[in-house]
Amino acid sequence: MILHTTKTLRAFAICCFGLSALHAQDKPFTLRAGMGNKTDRALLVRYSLSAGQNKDSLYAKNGVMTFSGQVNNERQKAQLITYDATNNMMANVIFYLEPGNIIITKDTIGNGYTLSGTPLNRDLNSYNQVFNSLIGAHMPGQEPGQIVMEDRRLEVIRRFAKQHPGSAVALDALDEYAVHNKKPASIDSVYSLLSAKLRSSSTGQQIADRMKGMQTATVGNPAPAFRLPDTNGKMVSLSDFKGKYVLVDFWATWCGPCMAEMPNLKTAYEKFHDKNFEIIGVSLDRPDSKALWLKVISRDQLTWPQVSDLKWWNSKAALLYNISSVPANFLIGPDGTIIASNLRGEALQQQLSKIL
Amino acid sequence: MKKNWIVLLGLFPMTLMAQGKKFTLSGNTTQAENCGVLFNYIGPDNQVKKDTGFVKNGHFTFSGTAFDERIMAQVIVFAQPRDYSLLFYLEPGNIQLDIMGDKVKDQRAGTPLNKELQEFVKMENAALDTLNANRKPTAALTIYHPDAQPTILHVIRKYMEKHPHSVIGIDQMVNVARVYKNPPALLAVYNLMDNAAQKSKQGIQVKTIIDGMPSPDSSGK
Repeated sequence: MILHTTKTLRAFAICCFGLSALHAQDKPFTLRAGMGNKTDRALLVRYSLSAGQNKDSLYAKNGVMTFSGQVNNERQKAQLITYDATNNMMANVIFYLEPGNIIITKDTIGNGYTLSGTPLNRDLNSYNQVFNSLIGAHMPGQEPGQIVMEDRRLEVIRRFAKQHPGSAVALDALDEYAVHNKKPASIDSVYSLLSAKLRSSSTGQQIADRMKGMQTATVGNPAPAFRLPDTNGKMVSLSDFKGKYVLVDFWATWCGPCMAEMPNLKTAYEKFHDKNFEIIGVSLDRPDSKALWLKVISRDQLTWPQVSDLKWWNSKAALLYNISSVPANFLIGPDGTIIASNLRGEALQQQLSKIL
Repeated sequence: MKKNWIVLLGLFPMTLMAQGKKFTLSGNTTQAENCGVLFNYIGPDNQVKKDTGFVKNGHFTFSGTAFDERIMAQVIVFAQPRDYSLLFYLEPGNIQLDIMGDKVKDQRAGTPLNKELQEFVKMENAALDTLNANRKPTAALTIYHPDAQPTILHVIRKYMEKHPHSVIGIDQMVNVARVYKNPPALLAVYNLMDNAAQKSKQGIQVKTIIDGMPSPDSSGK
């Protein structure tokens, strides 16, 4: 019943066509998805850092959905969320959106899908096969649970990386694994299996930064150095503030709890700024949110230095500080050592009162 | 999934709350790093509203204007190989959801009604675990199973004893009354509700359902 609202789906489609302006480097793709006879429509959700989110509606004809469009040169995934009106059930499949003819076929046995037609999707299909075989297998001596699942997942990536050291699928899988699993040694053991080309790619560097953050961004360690553009595009470095007590505050305009925390920051700033205290706001806003970022800074009178590379969770500073949720902050001493982290509400003022 | 839809459909908008106040929804999930997410609810006009977003590094956000009426909403995280959903109140403020793929770890927080709902769900989970203690895992009852409804009603009673003015009890009773056809048991809990709850849209809805049930002595035997 809920997904019977085709008007909304059509509205999505209209919006999407409006958004999908062609870029010079865009290349064509076609998608052919045989999702089974009971699936009558689907929503195609795709996201890339530079192009943002697009949503498209697909309708089945004789059990097959087809769609074509343009894709930019970022490596990106998309997701087909299917709806079976007969049984009021939804399912989904994630695949790479890349130039060429992408083919998705529902397996005749089980609920899986086969991906084919383009290089990355062929690789992803191989990865999924390793995943399905290992994730369901019994590992002696291990209790069921999330940790076991995650250990097996790393094992899947390891096996796949050994077979396909040059495949971006292994790199992306490891990048995703590293988001929730803070074991740098384990991650590095798989990372080192990847080709030099992959390790030096932007995603490869991202994983390296994230591993570095896991090891260093803790109280008592030197604060990781970063250099990011401020609201005027001028580069600002953490080292510019050496000799001061600095609160590096990670936030974003889309983060409600971050905005709720701002009055506390303002109070602390007003009270302690003249006592050798500074705040650097590091925004994890998206590439398409610069105007909003500037507007919120002005509207809420956030008068301390604000920097951002507008790379969302992939911000270099966020990776170096191992940020997995916002708001998050680090209080750094005049010598550049991390004194405390995640000081919220009264805790920030109490800490500053002790040291200033 | 299908059953979740049914629950959502049962919880229609209700009392006056907040005029045009903003909400932000911050979600975390450990079940996916990057995937699609659907946010949906039934608006005051009884139309289904939905929006899709993207989970990035296990996080997703939505924002908008809350309604004057109490409304329940749902998010579905399209992880693989299965999806995960969570019901919560759409109310003004910063709503925080943790979708962990584990009923004990799933959390609603940040706003008054969601904190209350979380406490209720915690009690409900504990009661259901006790009920299922002697069952095979494959035969475990869910909160939607008809045989679980007396236990859920008991949880509502316990919750109301602790929070006599909370709206959570009456909202949950709407679901129970649809499945559990035991007027005396339902009335016993309904009568514990305060006047405001009984006169609310849900209260009237529950009473109407109970009144429409055949009474125990009307079987003709």
